Order: sequence, then structure tokens, then C-alpha cells
Amino acid sequence: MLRALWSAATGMYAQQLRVDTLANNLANVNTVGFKKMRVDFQDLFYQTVAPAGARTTSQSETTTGIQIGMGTRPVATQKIFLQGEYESTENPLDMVIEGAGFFQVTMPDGTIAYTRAGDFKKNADGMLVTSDGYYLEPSIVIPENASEVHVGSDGTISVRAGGEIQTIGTMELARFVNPAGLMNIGRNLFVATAASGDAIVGTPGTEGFGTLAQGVLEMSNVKVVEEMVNMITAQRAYEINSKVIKTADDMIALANNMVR
Amino acid sequence: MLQGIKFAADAMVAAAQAQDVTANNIANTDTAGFRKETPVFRSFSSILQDTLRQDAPRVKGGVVLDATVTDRTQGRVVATENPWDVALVGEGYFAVETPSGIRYTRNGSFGLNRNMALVTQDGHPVLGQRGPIVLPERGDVSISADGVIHVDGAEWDRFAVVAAGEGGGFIKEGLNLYRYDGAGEPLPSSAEVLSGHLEMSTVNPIQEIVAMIAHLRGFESAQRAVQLQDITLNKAVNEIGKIA
Repeated sequence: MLRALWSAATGMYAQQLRVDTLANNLANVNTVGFKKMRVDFQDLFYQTVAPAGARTTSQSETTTGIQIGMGTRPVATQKIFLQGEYESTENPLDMVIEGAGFFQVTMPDGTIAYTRAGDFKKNADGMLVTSDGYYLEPSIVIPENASEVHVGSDGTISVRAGGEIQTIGTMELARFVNPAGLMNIGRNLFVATAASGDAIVGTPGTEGFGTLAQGVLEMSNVKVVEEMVNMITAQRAYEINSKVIKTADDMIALANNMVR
Repeated sequence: MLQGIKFAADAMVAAAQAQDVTANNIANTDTAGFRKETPVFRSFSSILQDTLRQDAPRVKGGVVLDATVTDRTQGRVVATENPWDVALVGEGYFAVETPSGIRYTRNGSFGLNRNMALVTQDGHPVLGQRGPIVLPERGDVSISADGVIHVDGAEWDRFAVVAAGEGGGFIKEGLNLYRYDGAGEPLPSSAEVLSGHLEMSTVNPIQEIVAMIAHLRGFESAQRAVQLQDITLNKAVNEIGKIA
């Protein structure tokens, strides 16, 4: 009896975690470069009350045993790196990666973080920075007298300065063997972990890397309808688990009432 | 003493165990690849007949939970667009390598680790035809319905998908894993492999809620039966023998 209580409690906890994740996905429905997450579950251990194949007589044996499971547990929050929708902004400093790869960002402590959000800005020194003011790696400085910025699909950045076009730098991208192993640190940034492996740095458009496009942003890959449907099922699953707790409690009360 | 009071208590125990099975099913409504358990009851007299044959005194009554049967119907397959989510359509299991030996799973929520090996959520390598499936650093990967993994159009490896042989079966170990129980090795399966999809749990919440109500009411009836027989005994012990 108590097993049912605890199994249902694990079910409620699992659904709670799922709603937390869905809520974060929905909150980031308009976050540039956001990648949605999904919680994956596993069944917990089984208590084998009677093993399959136990002898019932010298000639016969049971065909199936009795196994009672102990509920569920969350095992991973899987990041889904599907391409988000494109939004044309016509802002020359907005960039999008079509395909695999991440922009590299130098954090204030000197380490490198990775992002899919290409909404870059120019700071007072003419350097390309993220919305938080972190420098791009390798750093790109736009000259003061530049009038037009052009980003090529291979990451070449050129400007028109003093009537002639000059190349001022090249964007580099990083990719990972296992991007799902990256760790979210907020602010649209990811950092490498032992699970993701080390970053492989390369030029956009070369093998394994996506190409760049200018004046376009990659939006969140959250689909509202999908998340809403997931939220409805999570809420109902939470409810049904709470009903199990209520029923198990009723049964315990009945057993307690046997003694008059 | 009345034998019925024992039988009614048996029924309470069986209903409570069945409720545990139902609770586990309900807790796993969102576990990918989960196969629900069905409790099967058996009357006590039939067990006694099995063991003691005809020459024994026949006791009519009582019930026990005889088995939990793993339901092998196909779970709902949903599109996830994640290339390493792989669903099995038809009877079969993926083989994975765990520290305690080869285990089997229907949860195809796989991923690549830093060594380009295909692994489960717990990091157990997924097995192909030549041991763990390891992919090359580069190349376009696609998976066809027969379980073949193609890299740049050429056959690279094939998922080891197996089904139970004659007299064998898969036993749940938890954490989405099954152990094979039977003589020899499980046989190759012809289940279809669908990339970008996951097989969801086979638990149907409506069926489980109905089962839960049935177990509760069965438990309740058995409890009433215990009480009624207690009243009868009370009468027999305290009233019939009462000396005016």
C-alpha cells in the first residue's frame, strides 16, 4: 500500500519538473537563439515479489513473476538543438547561423562561452559585442569611418570606408561532437562540459559548419502550441497521480477502520 | 474460526498489491518506451489443486496476486524531430551495454557522447552489429527503417534489435532496462526503426483510473467482509454462549 503512495509521489514530482521546464520554454518563446528543453523519464527499480520461472511443482514453473515498480524518475533535461525560425531584421549587425555551430563569446573572466543568438551590437570602441557587452571571439573592430558593414556567408566581414571596401576580419564558429552535453549558463550562453567535448573551431561554410547570413536573427525554437499541449498533459498527469495518493490514503483508512 | 475472514484478508492484500502496480503505471505515463504492467489474480483453490492434486482436501476461496504481465502492445509514436530519438515499431528491443552485461530497452532517447559513441540517457553504449555504435567525426547520418545507419549514403552499422526466442522473455530491471531470461540469446527482430520519433508509454490513463477505482472498491468490499465476519464471530463467541 505504501508503495502506491510513494510511486504516485515520484509521478507528481516528475510532472512538476516537466511543468517547470515547459514554463521556462514558454517564457523564452521570443528569446533570440533559445533552444528548448525536454525532460526525459525512466521507470524506477522493481521489487520482485515472485520471480518468473519459480517452480510450482517438480514439473511446472510460473511463466511470469510478480514485479512491482517503484515509480518514475527524471533522468535528463534534453536540449533540443533544432533550428529556430528566422526573422528578418535588416539590422546589419544581426547574424544567423544556417546549420550547425555557435558564435564564440569572451566572458569577463577570459573564458569562452558559446551562443546561437546573433543580435550583436557595436560598443563605444567599435568592437562587436553581445547584448551584455561581451566581446566576440575573435574580436572584430569596425573602423570609425566605416559606412557599411557586410557579412559574407563564410564569415568575412568587410566595410566601406573612405569610398573603398576593405576586409576587417573573419567570424569563426565552434561546434561540438555532442551539443546536447553543453551547459546552459543563462544570458543565451552555453559552456563546454566533459560531456560535450572540446569545441572544434572553424570557418563558416566549411565541412560541418553552417553558413552565416546578415540582417536575420534566429528566434527561439519553442513552438507554443506544442508546449501548451504538453502543459495540458503534464497538468492532467499531475492530477491523476494526486488521485492515486488519495485512493491509497482511502485504502489505508479502510484498513485502519477494520478494528472497531 | 471462520475461514472466510482469512479469504477476505487475502483479497485485501491482493487488491493493495494491484493498486501498487497501477500506481507505478500511472507514475510512468510520460516515460518513453515504458510498457505497462497488468496484475493477474488467481484463486487460491486453483493453486492448491496444482500443488496437492485431487487427493487433498479442497479449500474453496481466497485469492492471490499471481503475476504481473508486461503489456506488449505498441506505444504511441510521436515525432520529436531530434535525429537521435529512435522509436521501435513492432516487437523488439534495442541492445545496450551496461556494467552488469547486455541489457535491452525500448526507450530510444539516445545521444552522442564526446567519443562519438551512441549512448542512452544513462551513458550506456547502444549496440550495433560489431559492438557499440561509434560514428565518424564527419558525415551526414541517416537511419533507415530496417535499422541501418548510413553515413554519407554508405552503410555504416545497424542497430542490434532483438526479440524473445522460444520460451524466453524480457524481465524489467527498472531505469528503462530489461534483462533477457531464456535459453541462449534473443533472436533478431524485424521491428521497424523510426528515426526522429519516440515511442511513448503504453499506459492509458483512463484504463488505469478505472483499474484504480476497481482495486479500491474491491479492497473496500473485502474489508466489509472482514468486518461482517467479525460481527458473526462476535455473536458466536459472546452472545450464543451468554448465560442469562
